[in-house]
Amino acid sequence: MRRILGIAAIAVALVAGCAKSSTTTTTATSAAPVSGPPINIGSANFTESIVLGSLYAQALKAKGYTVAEHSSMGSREVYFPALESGKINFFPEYIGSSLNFLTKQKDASKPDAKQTYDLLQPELKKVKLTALQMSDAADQDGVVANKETASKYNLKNISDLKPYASQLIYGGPPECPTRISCLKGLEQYYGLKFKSFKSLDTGGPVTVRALKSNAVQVGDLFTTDARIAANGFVVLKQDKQPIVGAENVAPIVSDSLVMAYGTKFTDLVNSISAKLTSDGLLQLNKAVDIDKEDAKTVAAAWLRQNGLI
Amino acid sequence: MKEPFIRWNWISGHLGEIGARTVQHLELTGIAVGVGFVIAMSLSILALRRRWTYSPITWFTGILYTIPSIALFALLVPITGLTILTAEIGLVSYTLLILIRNIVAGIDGVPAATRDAAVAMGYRPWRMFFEIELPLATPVIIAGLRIATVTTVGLVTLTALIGQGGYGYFINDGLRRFFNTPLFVGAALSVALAVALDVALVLVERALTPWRR
Amino acid sequence: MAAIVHWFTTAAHWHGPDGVPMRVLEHLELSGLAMVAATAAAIPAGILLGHTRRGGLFAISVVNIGRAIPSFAIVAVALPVSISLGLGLGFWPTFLAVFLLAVPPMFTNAYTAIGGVDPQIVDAARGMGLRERELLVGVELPLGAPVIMAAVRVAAVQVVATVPLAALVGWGGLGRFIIDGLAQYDMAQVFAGALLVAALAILTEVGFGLLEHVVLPPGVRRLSRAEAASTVV
Repeated sequence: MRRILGIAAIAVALVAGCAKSSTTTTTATSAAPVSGPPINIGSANFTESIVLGSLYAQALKAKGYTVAEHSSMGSREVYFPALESGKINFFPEYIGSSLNFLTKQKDASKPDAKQTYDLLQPELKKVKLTALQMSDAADQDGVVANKETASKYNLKNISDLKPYASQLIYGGPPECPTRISCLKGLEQYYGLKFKSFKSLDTGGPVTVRALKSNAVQVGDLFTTDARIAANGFVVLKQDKQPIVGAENVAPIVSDSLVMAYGTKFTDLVNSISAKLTSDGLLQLNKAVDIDKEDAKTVAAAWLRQNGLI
Repeated sequence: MKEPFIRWNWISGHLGEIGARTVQHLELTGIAVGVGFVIAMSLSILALRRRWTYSPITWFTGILYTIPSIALFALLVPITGLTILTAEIGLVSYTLLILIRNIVAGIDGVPAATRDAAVAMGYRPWRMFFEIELPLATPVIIAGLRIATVTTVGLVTLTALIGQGGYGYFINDGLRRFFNTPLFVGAALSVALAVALDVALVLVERALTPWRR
Repeated sequence: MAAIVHWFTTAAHWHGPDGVPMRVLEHLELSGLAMVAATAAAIPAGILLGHTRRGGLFAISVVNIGRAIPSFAIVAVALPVSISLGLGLGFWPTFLAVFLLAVPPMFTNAYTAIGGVDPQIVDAARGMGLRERELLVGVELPLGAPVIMAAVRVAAVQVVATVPLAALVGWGGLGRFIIDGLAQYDMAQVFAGALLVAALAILTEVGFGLLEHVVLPPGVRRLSRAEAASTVV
């Protein structure tokens, strides 16, 4: 008995001893080190954000900046205060949702990207933050029907749902019934009245599972989610009024960081953002969620492919 | 494409991270139980010296215990941020009730005859506490420490939801990506760590109470 | 603070499928079902094994191992299994998690309650000619009842406090307020949810306490309140 315990103890010690602190990484590599304050990059607790965080982090590190990654911090309510307080000073964000968050409104974001971006900047200024150039890559809420429902009713556009909505259950995040980009907009602009609503999560695994198991027939997922294609789900087109706000990716950085590093820094970040596309996001998500690869590896591969490291 | 039960190559490829998360998990647990023990000991001494405080103390720590852990963490985040402090405040709160109950029960369980003999031998209250009562109460106190430690290891998995790490990170990752391997690894290691610490505490108890062998 | 009072006084929060009464019912439904199942699984087994006074190490190990398994992990692992079995999302994984939470301590405490009855009393009873079944039902059970009931009470409170996990995997109950509130940064809702769960847990504690008072024979009850509190494992 004691011998087994002894071996177990040694085993735990060995594994712990192998611990490289690979949970937050703080090294400058490759190029000549750039002197200045450390860049603390955060990311939210979903795949795409984690990959984006890792992507920017590795690109900056390769150019000599001192970078520390704080990945998978939580939801916006939980990480944004850290951004405002300076604990992190770089975050790959989405223009629509951050606008809604800052203005404490559910529908401040507009379907037009430039409009949303222009509304966002002054809000960020108030808390000493800046949005750098936004990317073409966007990941917004999508009305998604599962395979059986889409084929049964031959659904391609949102208005195709009109005759059948009363027989279908809609699944989405808790605030969905009160948001224009969600159920409220579907009712107002498309005249859809669903049988009932199920509160799930924000485009996450619970919603995917609910759609897959047909607990709900239509749900709210994010458009670059690789699991849509993997499960044969169909994103329905906003054929009438676009209700979903624009959600282009834009890094939000602290003013102090911009002042410390200047245009060399912002140009570098913008050049990275310029290479991101919605399709690219989809591929990155697929590699992590479906092929089960590490976010770090996937991000590095993308950077290499795009000549950024 | 069916996800296999466990991808062994993931495990072998992530040993470094598994080790780092183990250290994190141990840290979070250790701080919680350590701080909890100090606070519990202080409150217990108070309760033993002033009996009437025992009820309100257990009542308050009991209330803390019934607040669901996810709620407690969620409520602390706006106040103390996404920090280890937030996690620790929550974790420490959950250890207090069991530790206080066991420390007090342990001290109370010291036979009156022993106490009388000590007094007769000239032991003053503090010396008696540290040299007689505490050692004799050790088994019951360690029983409480074992429960607190094992429970804390389980609760630490939830701290992954507020940006901390430990094995909960793997569980969460697996949940998010429908990836069995980190999910099972995180869950299994959680259990293993709890059992290992439990056994370690039993050994500590044996070492501290040689007269019981 | 004012926002919390406001939340509770908003009529809309008390009606419909998302209202407080509905969520409380859902919460009780899951807690109740799990407790009934766990009690049925744990108590008779613990009593019988305790009566034989064998397998002590096993009984203690059960509670230690049981406590080591984090409920969050069980819910997470059970979710895909539940779905593939066509059992839906959050109800059954959480049921399994709280069932496994409640069984070990109740089993072990039933064991120590019965097995720990003063051996002199057991001897005397056997000497008086009591058969095994009469001994168990007439002597050991009444004497062990306070500890057993205390264990059931403690388990029930823990179950009620753990059921909120179900909201993480798409089910309802009072955890819904906590998780949904968090998602919408509606801290008043989170607080309200936490308060409701704590209140329900306290009510459970008090309710079972009353039950003990009513069910236990007066002589036994007097002996054991304090003893039960400190011996419950």
